[in-house]
Amino acid sequence: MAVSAVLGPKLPDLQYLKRLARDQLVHLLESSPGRKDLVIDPDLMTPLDRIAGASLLKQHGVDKIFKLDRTKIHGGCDQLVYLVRSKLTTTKLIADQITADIRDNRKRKYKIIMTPRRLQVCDMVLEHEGVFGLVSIEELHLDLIPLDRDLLSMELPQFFRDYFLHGDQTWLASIAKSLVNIQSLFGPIPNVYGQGRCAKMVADMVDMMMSELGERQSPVGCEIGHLFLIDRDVDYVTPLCTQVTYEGLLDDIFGIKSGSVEFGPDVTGTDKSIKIMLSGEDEVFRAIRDRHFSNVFGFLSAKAKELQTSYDKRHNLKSVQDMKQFVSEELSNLKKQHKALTLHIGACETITKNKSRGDFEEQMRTEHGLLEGVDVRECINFIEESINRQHSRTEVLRLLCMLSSTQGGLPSKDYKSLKTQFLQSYGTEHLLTLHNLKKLGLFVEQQAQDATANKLADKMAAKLTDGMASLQLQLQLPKKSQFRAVSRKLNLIPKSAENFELRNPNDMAYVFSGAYAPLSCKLIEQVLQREGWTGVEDIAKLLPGDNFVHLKAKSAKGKASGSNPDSDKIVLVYFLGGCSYTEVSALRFLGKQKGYRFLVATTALTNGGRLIESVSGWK
Amino acid sequence: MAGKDQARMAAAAFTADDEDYWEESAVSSSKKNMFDDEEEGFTVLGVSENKAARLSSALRSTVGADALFADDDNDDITWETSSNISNSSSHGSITSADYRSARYTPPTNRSGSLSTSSSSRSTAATVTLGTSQDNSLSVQFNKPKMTRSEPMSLEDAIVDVPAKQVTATEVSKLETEIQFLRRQVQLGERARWTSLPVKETIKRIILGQPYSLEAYKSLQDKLALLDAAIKMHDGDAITITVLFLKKTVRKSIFQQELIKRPVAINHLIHFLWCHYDLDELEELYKMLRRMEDVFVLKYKQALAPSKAAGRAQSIAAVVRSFQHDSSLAPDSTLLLEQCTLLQRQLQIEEEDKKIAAGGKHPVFKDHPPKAQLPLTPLTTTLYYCSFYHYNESDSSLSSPLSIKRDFQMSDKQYTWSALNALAKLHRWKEIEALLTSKNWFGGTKMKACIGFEKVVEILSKQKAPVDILSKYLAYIEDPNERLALAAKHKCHRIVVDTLIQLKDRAALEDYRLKTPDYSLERQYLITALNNSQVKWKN
Repeated sequence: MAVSAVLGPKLPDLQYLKRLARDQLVHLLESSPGRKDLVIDPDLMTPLDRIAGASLLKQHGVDKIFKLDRTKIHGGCDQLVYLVRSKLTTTKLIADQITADIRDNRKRKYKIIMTPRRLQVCDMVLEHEGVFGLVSIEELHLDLIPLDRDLLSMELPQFFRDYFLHGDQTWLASIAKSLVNIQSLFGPIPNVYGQGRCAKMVADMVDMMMSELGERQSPVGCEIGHLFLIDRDVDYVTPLCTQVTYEGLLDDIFGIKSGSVEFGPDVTGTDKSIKIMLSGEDEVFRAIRDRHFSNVFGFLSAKAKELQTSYDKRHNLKSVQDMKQFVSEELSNLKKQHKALTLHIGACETITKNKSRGDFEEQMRTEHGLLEGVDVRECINFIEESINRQHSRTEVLRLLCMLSSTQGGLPSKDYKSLKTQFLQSYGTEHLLTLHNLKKLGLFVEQQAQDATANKLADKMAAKLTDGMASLQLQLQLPKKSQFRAVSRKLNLIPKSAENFELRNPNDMAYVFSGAYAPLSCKLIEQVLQREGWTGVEDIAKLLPGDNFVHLKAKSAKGKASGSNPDSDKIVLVYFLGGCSYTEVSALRFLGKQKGYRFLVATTALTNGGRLIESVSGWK
Repeated sequence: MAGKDQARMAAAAFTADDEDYWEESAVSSSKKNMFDDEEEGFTVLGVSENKAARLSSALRSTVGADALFADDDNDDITWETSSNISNSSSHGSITSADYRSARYTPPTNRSGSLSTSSSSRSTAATVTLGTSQDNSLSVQFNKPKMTRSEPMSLEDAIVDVPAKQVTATEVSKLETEIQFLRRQVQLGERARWTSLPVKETIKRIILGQPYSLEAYKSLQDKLALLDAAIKMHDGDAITITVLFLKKTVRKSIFQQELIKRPVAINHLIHFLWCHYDLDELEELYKMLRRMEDVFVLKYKQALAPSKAAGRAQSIAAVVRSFQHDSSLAPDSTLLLEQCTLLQRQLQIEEEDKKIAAGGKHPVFKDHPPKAQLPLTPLTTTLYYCSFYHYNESDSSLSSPLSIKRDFQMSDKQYTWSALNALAKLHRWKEIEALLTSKNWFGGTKMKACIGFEKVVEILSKQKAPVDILSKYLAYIEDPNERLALAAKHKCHRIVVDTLIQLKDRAALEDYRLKTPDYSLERQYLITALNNSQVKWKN
C-alpha cells in the first residue's frame, strides 16, 4: 500500500494495525446506540490522534469530548463513555465521578473502554467502590501504533517507571499481545533474540499466547524474519546522551509527540504555531531526519536552489498543454516541498540558536569525555558547576546519571559531594528523585566490594534455576552495567575522532558526532551477524539480565510458500522501556550498511530528559 | 492508499494551525476510510466482534450458572443473525461466504479446548483483513450513489430484509452455534464447581476470561496459584492472587509466604502505592526490614504540608523517629538541614517584611522581592541573602557568609551566588573585594575559584563596562582563551596586549580595523606595532 520508494527489502504495511484499532474503536462506540459524551484519558489524547480524529468520533455518536481530570463531567447525554489507560488511579477517579453523579441524583449509563487491556485489579477497584454493577467494561486493543513506515510505539511511557523502578509486570501481557497481533498479521517470526529479564518474560508470554491460539497457518506467510527484544536497562547510556541527529534534535528541543511536532512562531516566522506530522512520506524530511545536524543545513539550501529552478520552469513553458501539466502535476508538489523546506530551515535556525548558548560545547566535551572515560575529573567539575549555577535540573540529572552509568558508579566522596550540592541547589525534596535513580542503578555510589559482589550474584543466579533468588540479589545490589568493558569489546568509541566522516558516514558512531556508537544498536548488529549469542558471550555476560535465542530450523524457512522472500532481511527490534530517535536512525543506518530493513517497535519514544522526568520523585 | 492518506494528512497539517490540524487530519483520514468504517465496522469486523463479545458474555453468564441465561443467549444469537442477514443482503452481490468463514472459525478452531474469546477475536480480525479490501471496493461499485453520511439508507434495509428467506445454510449455522454454546455451558459449569488447574486459571486472567478463585481453599492451592502467576509473569494475575492470599489467610502466614516471593512483594507494594494504602505499605516495609523505604515513604508524607512551618515540623518528626538508625544517618542529616533552613527562611522573611515596609532599604526599594523565600532551595536562599543582605555582619541570620558557614557550603557555591547577586546590582567594587584574597605577607592577590573566564561571562551578561571586564580578562591565564573573550567583548587593549604576548604581528595588523577610528585603543595598537622591542613571530 505505502509505496516503498527506498530500495531493498519491502517492509510490511503497518497501516493495518491502525485500521484494526480504528475499526474496533468505532465498533465499541456504536455498540451502545445513541448519543454519548466521551471522556478521554489525557495520556491517550495524542496517541489517539494517530488512529481517530475528533470528527470520526463525532460521526459515531460522540457528542461532547472531555478530558479526564478531577473536575465534574457535565455534558448533555445520558450515556458517558470513558476511554482510558487501564490504571488503578484512573479507575478510582472514574469511580469517584460516578459516585458523585449518584449523590447528585444524576442518572446515566456508563461504559469504560480500557486500553490496551481490561485489568482484573481495575475491576476489583470498581467493585470495591460499589459501582461495578453500574458500568460496562470493554477493551480496546490499542497497543502498537504506527508512527511511521518503520516505527511502532505503544505510546506507554509509564511502562519504564512501572517496570524498571517498581518491578510491576502488568504491562508485559500487553506487550506480548502486541507481538501476537503483529504475528497474526505478518506471519510468525521464525528467529527471536533477546537480552534482559523483561525480554525473556515477554518472549515466554508470547509463546503461551501463541500456543493458546493454536497452530494456524497464517494467510500472509511470514513477512518478518527476525525479532530482537531488548530491555532498556541493557543500555541506559545511549538515551542519556544529547542527540545530534536532526530528528533527535527536534525531539530534544521541540518534543515530538506521537510522531508530530509543534513549531512555534520562532520557527514558522509568523505569529502562529504549526503542528506537523513527521514521517518518511515527507520527502524533505526523509532526506534529513537521520543526518548529523552539521550535514542538514547544506542539504536544505541545495534543495532550496533546486526548488527555485523547478519553479523557474514555468517561464519556459511553451504551450498551454505544458502549462496545464505544470500546474496540475508539479506545482502542488513543489508547493508542498516549499512549505516543508521553510519549516525545516526555520527549525534548523532555532536549533542552532539553542545550541550556540554558552556552555553547549563544554557540555558536549563533557559527554564525550564520559563516554571515552578521559578527563573524568574535568567532567565532574563541569557537572558541579552546572549544579552550583542551578542550570536545568533535568539536564544536570541526565549528566549525573551518565557519569554514574559510564563510570560504574561514583566513588563515595564524589557521590556524597554531588548529592549534597544537588539537593542544596534544587531542594532537599529531590532526595526522592535521587532515591529512585539509585533504585534504577542510574546514580549510585561505588561499593568497595562491588566487583566481587557482582560476580557472586552471577554465580548464584547460575546455580538457582527458579530465578527468584537471583532476582532478590539483583534488587539488593545496584545493577551495574560495566559500560567501559562493553564499550571496548563492541568498539563503541571510534579510534580517530578527528577527521570523522559525518557527511558520508561509514560508521554508526556518526549519530553521536563520531564520538560513540549506540551500545544497543551495536549489540543488535553483532547478534544478527552471528545469528545468536555465540561469540559474544563475554559481552552478554557484562550486561544485565539473561540472553536467549530461538531459531527456527533453516529448512522451515523455505517451507512457507506464501512467504516473502525478503523476510529474512526484515528485522523487528522491540525496545522494552523506550528508545530514542537516535537509535532509530542508527538502525536505519545499519540496515543500509548490511542490507537489512529494520522495523522499530518500542513502548515509547524517549530521550534523556523524558527518561529522567519519568522517574522523578518530586515535581 | 495508505500512502496517499498519510501524505494528505501531512499536507493538511502544513496549512492548518493547531485546531485545524486536529480537524483536518481527522477529516482526511476518515474520508478515506468512510467505507471501511461504516461497512467493515458494521458487518465484517462488527459482526464477528459482536459475536466474540456475545460469546464471552455467554460464558460469563454460564459461569453464573444460571441455565435460563443460555436461552437468553440463543435469543440473542437469533437477533444477531437476522441483523447479519439484513446486512449481507443489503450488499447485494456479496455472498455471505466471507462472513461465514469469519463466523465459523471460532468453533472449528477451538477443537474441544477451552474456549477463548480473545482467540476468536483475533481470528476474526485476520480473516477480515483478507476480505476487507474486496468488500469496500465492491460496495463502492455496487452502490455508487451512496452518500457519505448515509452509507446504507434505511429504505434499503427495510425493503431487503423481508425479501430474503432464511436459507438452509442459515439454519444449519444457527444449529452449529447452539451446539457450540451448549458445550460452552457445560464447560462453564464444570469450571464453576471443580477448581481448575492453577495454570488454567492464571491463563484465564491473562486472556481476560472469566475466572474464579473461590475454589482454592487449601493453603497449598493458594500458594500454587500465586506461584503459577509469578511463573507466567503477568502483573495483573500476580496482584490479584497475592491480594487473594492476603484476604484469605492469617496475617502471619501471609507474611511468612510473601517474604519468600520478591516478585509478589513488588506487586503488592506497587498496588498499595497506587491505592494510597500508605499505612499498610509502611507496615509491610517494616516487616521486610526495608528501613530506607520506610524512611523515604515517611519523608514523602512529611512533604504534604504546603506551608513552610508545617513542613518543617513534619520533617523534624521524621528525623526524630529515625535518629537511632545509623544506616540512615547521612540522609537524616540532610533532612535536619532542611528543617533548619525552613525555620531560618521564615525568620529572615519576617524581618525582611519589616525592612521592606520601612521603605528605607535601597535594594528592597528598587528591587522588591518577587517570590517568597520560604521553601526555596539553599542555593537560592544564599543568592537572596547576597542580593538583599550582602554586607551584614556574619552574626546576622540573613548574612550570606553566615549561611555559607552554617550550611558548610563551598567557596565555589558562595562565589557563584554572591557574584551573580552583586553583578545584578552592578556593585563592581564589592565584586572586586569578593575576588581579592590576602596572602601570607599581607599583600593582596586576585583569585577566582570559579575561574576568571566565568567571572567575565557573568559580568558581561549584566552589562558591566569595558574597563571592569578588562580588569578580570587580564587574569585569564590561557592567552588564546583570553584573546577570544576579549575580542568578543570588544576589550581592545586586552586584545592588543595578548597579541603582543603571542608575538602575533599579523593578527595585530588585522585587528587594527576593528578598533574605532581615532580612538585611544587605535593609538595603543599602533604604538604596539611600532614597538621594536617585541620579537614578532611573523
